[in-house]
Amino acid sequence: MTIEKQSKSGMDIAQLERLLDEAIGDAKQDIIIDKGGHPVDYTPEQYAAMAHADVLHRSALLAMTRNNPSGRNEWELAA
Amino acid sequence: MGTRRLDISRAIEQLVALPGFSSLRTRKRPLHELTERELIQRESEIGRELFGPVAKGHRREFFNTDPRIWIWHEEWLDADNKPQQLTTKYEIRNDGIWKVQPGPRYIKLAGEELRNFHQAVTVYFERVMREVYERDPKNGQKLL
Repeated sequence: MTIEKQSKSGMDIAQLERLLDEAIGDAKQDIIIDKGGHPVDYTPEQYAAMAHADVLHRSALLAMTRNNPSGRNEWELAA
Repeated sequence: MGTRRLDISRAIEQLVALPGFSSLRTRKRPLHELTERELIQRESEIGRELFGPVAKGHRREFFNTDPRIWIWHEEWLDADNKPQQLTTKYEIRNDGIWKVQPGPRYIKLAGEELRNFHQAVTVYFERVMREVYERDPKNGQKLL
């Protein structure tokens, strides 16, 4: 398969990346809201979720870059 | 103010549900003269430096093979001058990051170990993007 192909759910990888970015953003926002607007450290559970998502995201971007067709930058699609 | 629901789990499920997600392949790749294996070797040259100096007689590799697998490999000579080796695989599963060692032993990363692994991946990503692929790690743009 190529990275341009649609997933079974009809989303391409750029959409999924955007969704992941939004989820991470939401998680950060939730922490701020929960603590009265002041940035604080994550709880262990929040950090574990963040780290898991972040590692997966970076791993996917590495794989895409390693196999990037014709130098085309898929990251631009997610911007 | 209420807490919004976290959608990270949903995002991960959708991301990993991509057909062939763990083996994304395309016909062409940057640095055309290099195979995927050679690119990973170049990545590992950076990866092995992330944990400090390698002791004399030791060989270390740390690299990513696909969106769900990271490998730590270490080789050394023991007191009897016999070669020893240890390979640790980190699997990015839907329920978290698991460390797999010979045995096999499965340990879900948590606490300090998770923090260290996350930090290593973050630095690996930043350096590999710049030094191997010449891209800005923030947006993927080609560096001038």
